Amino acid sequence: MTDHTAEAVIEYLEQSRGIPRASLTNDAPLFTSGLLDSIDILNLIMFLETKFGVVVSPLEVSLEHFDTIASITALVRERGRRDGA
Amino acid sequence: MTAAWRGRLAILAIIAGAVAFLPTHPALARTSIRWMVDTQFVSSTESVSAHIGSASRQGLLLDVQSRDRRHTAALDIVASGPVMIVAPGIDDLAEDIVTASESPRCKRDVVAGQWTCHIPVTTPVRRLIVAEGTGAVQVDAHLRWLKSVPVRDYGSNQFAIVTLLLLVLTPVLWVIHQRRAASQWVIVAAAVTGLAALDAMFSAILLAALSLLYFGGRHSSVRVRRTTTFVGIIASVALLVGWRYLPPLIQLTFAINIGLAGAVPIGLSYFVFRMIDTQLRWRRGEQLTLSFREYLCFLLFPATIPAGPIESVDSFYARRLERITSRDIVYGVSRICLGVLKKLVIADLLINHLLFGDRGSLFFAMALDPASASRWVILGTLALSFAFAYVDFSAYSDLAIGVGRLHGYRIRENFDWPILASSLQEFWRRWHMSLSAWCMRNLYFPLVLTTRNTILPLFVTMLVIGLWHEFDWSWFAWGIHHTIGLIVSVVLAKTATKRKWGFPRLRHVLAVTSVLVFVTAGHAFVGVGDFHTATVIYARFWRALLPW
Repeated sequence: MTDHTAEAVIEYLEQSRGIPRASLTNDAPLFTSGLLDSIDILNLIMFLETKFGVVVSPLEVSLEHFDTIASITALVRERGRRDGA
Repeated sequence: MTAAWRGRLAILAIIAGAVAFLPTHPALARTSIRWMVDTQFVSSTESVSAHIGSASRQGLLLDVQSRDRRHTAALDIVASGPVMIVAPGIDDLAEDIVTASESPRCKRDVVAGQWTCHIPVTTPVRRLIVAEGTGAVQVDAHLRWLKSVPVRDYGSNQFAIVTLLLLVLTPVLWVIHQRRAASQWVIVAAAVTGLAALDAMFSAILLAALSLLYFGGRHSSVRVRRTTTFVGIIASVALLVGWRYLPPLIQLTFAINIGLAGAVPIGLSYFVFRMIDTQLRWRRGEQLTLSFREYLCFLLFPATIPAGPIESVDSFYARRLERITSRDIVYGVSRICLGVLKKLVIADLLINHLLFGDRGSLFFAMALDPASASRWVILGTLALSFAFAYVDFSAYSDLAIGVGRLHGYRIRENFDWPILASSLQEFWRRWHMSLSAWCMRNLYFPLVLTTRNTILPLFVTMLVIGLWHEFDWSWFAWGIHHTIGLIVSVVLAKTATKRKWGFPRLRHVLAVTSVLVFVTAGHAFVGVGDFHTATVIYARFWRALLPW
């Protein structure tokens, strides 16, 4: 599940934003480093919602949940488990 | 209607409400502007007829006071009658007078028999207009506010107490820093004592608010946590807005001077930012193990009280030093020296003198009559205005980082060479980084999720940053200026990713220059509070860049 999520996110970022795969390490900051810009956040969230069916509420998540591949993976895992329960 | 559309409409309604309040509503005038004509109190009188003359020392006294701000203004006078003299005050009449016929700031229209003068003034103003000889003089006097700087008149005793506290606190912390709890209580005690010395009422309100927010925000019941977050954020913003705009309303309505009781307390904005950030973390279920002592130490950390940076509680404690070494002391003292050098020598002595010096002031050359100022005056003044903002604010950050290191904490950097940014987005990641990050976390991101839109939240974020500085049209326009710039910057960045253009170094130099020019243009609204004057300067700045 974790590897699958990370791979899907990396593939999405590679194809939609043209970011080289080598830059997308597990802990590399995406937004705070400027790799992704403030406009990309909505596209990323919509991708995660569509692909994994997670529901993102403004008061329950923060930007930090989307700042690295690792934090995105953790969020999808946690949300998937909770939404599925 | 979907939730996203409801969110968008709610935001648009809030913006419309703010815009409706922006114009010249007296409640939002930040000064008690009082025009004294002789001894008669006249409120907002701009045109008077008077029988004045120098021989009898009768004159037209313009007495303009401001409460907690220093205003720079243009005193525009149109007078008909005998030759006019403008003096700084009644008592100085014999010494430092400006005669209209001598002053380069005055022009005489012989046919109409009128004198027109544009005179720079800085509050408090006491100007006496008299005439050579005696006669009936019709004077139309108008004050055009150009710039407004907050000043809080703390007594020297209060500053002495705070300085003494810092001098005592620093060596004490070197000794007890490794005893975490004791050192944090000492920091809290010193901060509370210092704040109470400066403003006892504010420190009492702040402590009460922090206690309520802490025990409500971390409550085991999710419902109580949510209610506290909601009420806490509304109350914090109301406190900030109320303290800034309520006192002028009281002063204007009741014509009383409430003095320092109405002045904005030191660091109020920064307290509110940190309180909201922590509150939202608790709302999300983060940082729930934070103790009351740690909460107070974070909120009241002395180095970050006056001007930030706006830390978040997790990164603040993640960068706490295990122990304070001699290298930390050397580093802290070096950063303090750098800050003092930047503030006192570069910002105040050099740039500020060029902008507002007694003779040959660039700012007045631009602002008194922007339509006829030369292109070099416009470009030079705005460039220096931007340079001053950068050097001055980064100097405060240097001081905070230096003092913070001496007290055992690595305070986050607030500026990362923004003048080298090659896009406006990058500029905002490097300029006042802690505020940008705060807005991204707590404003832009939740709004994107709520509205499922990126442009509207961007506009709101830049608007909030602007109106946080001053609630006026100039800063509103500044927000629009930067929103447009950021949208263009994003579009250009996405186009550049798709196309592979040549000459990378040349493109980089052009990009850095473009960002500097764009940000400098925005300083037309930062430096000049009078909206009409600011728009003339803004338009002239862009025209000045054209070679023809």
